[in-house]
Amino acid sequence: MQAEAPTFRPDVLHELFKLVWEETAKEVEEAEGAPGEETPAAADISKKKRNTTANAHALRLSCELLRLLIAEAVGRAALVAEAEGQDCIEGSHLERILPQLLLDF
Amino acid sequence: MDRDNDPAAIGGASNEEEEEDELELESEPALTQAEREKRKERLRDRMKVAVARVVENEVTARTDFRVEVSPVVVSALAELTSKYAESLARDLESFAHHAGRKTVNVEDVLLAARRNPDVKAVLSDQAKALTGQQQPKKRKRPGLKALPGD
Repeated sequence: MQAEAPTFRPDVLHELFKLVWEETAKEVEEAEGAPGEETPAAADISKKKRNTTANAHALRLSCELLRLLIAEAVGRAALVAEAEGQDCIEGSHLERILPQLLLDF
Repeated sequence: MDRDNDPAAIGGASNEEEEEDELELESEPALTQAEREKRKERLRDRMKVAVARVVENEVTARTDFRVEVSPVVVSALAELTSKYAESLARDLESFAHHAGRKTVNVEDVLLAARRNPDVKAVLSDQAKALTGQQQPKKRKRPGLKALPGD
């Protein structure tokens, strides 16, 4: 789907998600105060069990959410640029719309 | 828009590289902080290409008023997307864990979009198209054109 509209790649997003989830898993582990230093092998197994994953549909939907965010940002910034009579979206236009945009997403 | 990585290149050349990444990540879960940052950096570059393409598409889709987008804005949007994606990842993880799951599913993503009914509506439509083959009437919506406040 979305053959003509470019969007984000689910696999790239999944990589990024997994990196974040690895980080949080590590933080949780540290916060729980792992008793002493476990052997690396044991740590790996427990981490693998705990790490979050995502299913394919969820990733596609997340890509769409990011696409909507960007599309909406461009749309709103374009309106501001238009109102100022400029034909190029500059940083200042983005600055104007960013606070409300972040509240809306 | 082709001042950073050529968007056309992503289809062919980078595919292989990506699969390699995946394998590494699977086989070697314990990455050092530095490696992780490097990997993130590369993913951010990928995202930037995607952002540039989405922006390009969005601008050319406008018929009433022609605008261009300054490169600074594209970079800023790419940065925003990466940051947003990272916070989205944390949200999704929390939602899934709260539901007693370790796999993020479509409902978690819909919950992440709860604050904006319009976005949520678009995403639910997509979710239905993705998951339910029993209702083939709704295939997709090309995009979101109007949000409150526009």
